[in-house]
Amino acid sequence: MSKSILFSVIIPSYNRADLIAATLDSVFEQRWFHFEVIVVNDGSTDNTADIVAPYLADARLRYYEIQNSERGAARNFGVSKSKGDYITFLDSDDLFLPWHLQVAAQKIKETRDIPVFHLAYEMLHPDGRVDKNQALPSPVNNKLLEGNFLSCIGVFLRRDVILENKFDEDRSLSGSEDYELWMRIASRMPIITFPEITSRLINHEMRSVIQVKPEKLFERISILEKKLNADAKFNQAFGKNLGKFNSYRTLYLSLHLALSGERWQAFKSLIHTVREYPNVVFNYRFIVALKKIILG
Amino acid sequence: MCGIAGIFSKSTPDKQDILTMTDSLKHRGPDASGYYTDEVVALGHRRLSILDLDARSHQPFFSQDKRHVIVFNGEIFNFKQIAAELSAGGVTLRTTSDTEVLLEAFLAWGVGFVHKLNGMFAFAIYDIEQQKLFLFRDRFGKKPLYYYHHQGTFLFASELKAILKHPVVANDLSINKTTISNFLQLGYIPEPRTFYNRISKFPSGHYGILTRDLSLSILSYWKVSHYLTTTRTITEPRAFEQLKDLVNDAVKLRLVADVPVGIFLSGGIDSSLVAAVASKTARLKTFSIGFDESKFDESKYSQRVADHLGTEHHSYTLKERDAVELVDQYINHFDEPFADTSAIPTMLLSKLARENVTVALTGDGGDELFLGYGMYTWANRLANPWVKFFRPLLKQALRLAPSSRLRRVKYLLNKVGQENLRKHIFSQEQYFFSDEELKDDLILDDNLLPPWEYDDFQYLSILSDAERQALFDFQFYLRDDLLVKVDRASMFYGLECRSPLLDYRLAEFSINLPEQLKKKGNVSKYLLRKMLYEMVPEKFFDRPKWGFSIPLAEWIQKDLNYLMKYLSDENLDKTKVFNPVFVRDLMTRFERGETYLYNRLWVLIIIQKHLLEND
Repeated sequence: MSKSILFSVIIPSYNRADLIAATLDSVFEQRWFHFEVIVVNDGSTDNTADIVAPYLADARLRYYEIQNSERGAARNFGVSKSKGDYITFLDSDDLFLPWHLQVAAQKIKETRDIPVFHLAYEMLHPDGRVDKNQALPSPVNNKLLEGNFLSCIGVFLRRDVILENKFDEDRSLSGSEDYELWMRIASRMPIITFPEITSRLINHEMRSVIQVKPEKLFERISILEKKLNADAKFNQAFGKNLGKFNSYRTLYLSLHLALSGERWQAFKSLIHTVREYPNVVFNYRFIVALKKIILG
Repeated sequence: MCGIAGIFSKSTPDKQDILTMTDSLKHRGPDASGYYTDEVVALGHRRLSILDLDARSHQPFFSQDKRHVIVFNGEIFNFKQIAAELSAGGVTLRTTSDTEVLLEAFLAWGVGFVHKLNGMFAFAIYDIEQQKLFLFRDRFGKKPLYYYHHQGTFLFASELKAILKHPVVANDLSINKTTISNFLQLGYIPEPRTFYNRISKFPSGHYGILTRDLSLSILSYWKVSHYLTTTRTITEPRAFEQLKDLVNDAVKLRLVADVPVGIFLSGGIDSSLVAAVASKTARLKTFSIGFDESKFDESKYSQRVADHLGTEHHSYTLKERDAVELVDQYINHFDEPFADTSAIPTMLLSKLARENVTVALTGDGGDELFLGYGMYTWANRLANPWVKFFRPLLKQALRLAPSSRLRRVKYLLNKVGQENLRKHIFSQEQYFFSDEELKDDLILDDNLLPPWEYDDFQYLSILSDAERQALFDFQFYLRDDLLVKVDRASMFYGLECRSPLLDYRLAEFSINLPEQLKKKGNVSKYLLRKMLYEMVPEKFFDRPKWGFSIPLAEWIQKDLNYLMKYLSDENLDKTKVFNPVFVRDLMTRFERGETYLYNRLWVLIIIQKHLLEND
């Protein structure tokens, strides 16, 4: 048959037995059916294995169990078992829209095998609100200094790219391991973004992003900065923008502190952001943080 | 287009069993029969020849390497395109049938190949070497597939009757009484359950894999609601162009056959559109029926459209007697409770059309995809905050309303939970039982009232209530009623029906159209009409919508009154499911002139008949 692109969809899963069936259906319902699915059960204590079992009948799915580790490690493990031309990641509570891989294949063809790109996603909230991340610049590299606008669900990595740039498996980085990887990749090549929405995140109200403690976040940010600073390619690509990068990281922390009610801590961090990069005062998040600090 | 059956068993299947099963499907395929048997599997096929009439395309059909064998019911409309892709990849085809294309494509691309298929199908592919069986059913459920799976035996077939014939089933048949309440509110038993324990409807849009140890996996490959987007930006001119392209192509693909093709032409929007598009390519035969006595005779309207399009029109006027005589046959032919009596005119029309053609195009699907039914307006009205606020008052005011229409509104205003809302609106629009009636008055045992679960797409705020109701219909009424009716009624006479408006590309397109392109003000099916009016004058369609129905209320009072025997105290006492006092009260009210109760009585008659006969 004519050669067609093979995608590897890597699904790390930790205790998501109630949601993973819908996630898997969304993969098997892909119009572009030339894919392999690699489910990495990251030490779940629920009945994930039973839910996945019927899908094993389709030879495109492979299932592995590993001892509970970080999501980055589970993803790296999945990559090591994959054979695809392009690798993409799907968390076990998110959904591909049926045209996700088809659009990706089309982009790969049009751009003659770009190394890394991102398709837009949307987040649906229980009250009917929809957030979309369509309006990213392309390449998105410099914009990434301001924050992590990419979601794992939208990122496609050519095989050689992910083999050379793995997820950091350091537990203290947990939650920022994807951002760390995007920054490392952005230091080496352009990350192209496309506005087509091809995947969907459902806000089940329990999303882990919202529940992080400020101290943890502070630690995470310092480690992220330290790790990236140690990367020569990162310094080469973003060295003159380090102030901006650090300022935005601290802004994120400040906002988080303000939302948690730690107004004095938040204020101190906010001052720090301006010292690092004065233009930060024009950022929307800066204003929100300030407002929260003043008005509570 | 055909009938298929199969046995997969831990012990060697009995050849006689597959013969008996397959024979019961003879009406679906009068032209030929064929079998495959080995120590694990038996496959049977009845053929109605449509493409490649030659015996080389008889089934079961083997792959070139003889490792795989297929039995297939249906049509793959884009098979030529797939064949071209296969040839480009170096596969040489031996026949001109779609069956071979199907099998070779499966071998080339694996189970995912089902995404390439545009058609109506139910087929089984058996891997002789690995002793593995693969089952596929089309996206909408146009072609039927039932299965039995219990203790070392797996059976499948195009119709329930074939499964019921197998000795393992026949000796151990029991009724699944938890399906009764759904039937009384919907008029059919929704997928995946059937009236019988251990026998299921193989779900549409799914494929199944059965391994040697008889473990069965059923996986989804298509679900219309998963195509819903959260924004709609298409403009009317662009949408109109796309619609025209899609409809034209859908009709064109469905005109391919090696036998004569005709069209069911009622003279309504959907069938006229299909006829108008099809007539661009060839002069076709069109068919319609009407009843002598009926005020619902559409024959003059269909004649006018046919004249305008220059088709060779066959209009039959029948006596109601002809239809009444079919009632028993219709009830039995569906093998489980099925209340849609429009199956009867569909059977009559199929019988007559079959004298001239082997394939007929229909207009099915237009109403569900383009907001054609009046009940969608009700769905929006009931969601209106003012109506919600005044609901108790309105209900009170309508309590003594004289007309049956207003009585229906009274029932519609019952307060129900969100998970039950769609079913409630449907059942009340159809004059079936309400939740309250079932729970408080009719059903004696509360265990026969399982909870109903339906996700009404709460996360997708872009959908109006009318669209939500249409999606419900698309996933239930269309799949489990309309398409079952059309398949069973037409295949009873060996006629193949094809529904161009149910091309999956049209479905994926229409669900994301802005609502006002489907219903503009009071004009339903707006964009479809616009396309039609470019070919046939608008004035031909300036009249209220009528269903394809028989005057059931009158019939129950007269010719079919004998069926009331199923509701006698004695018979109710035998089945012990329904409260006899309430049933008697219903019958009295009906006889005293509350004729809107006819459909409630009808579903009761049907279910009682099935309960008694299976006892």
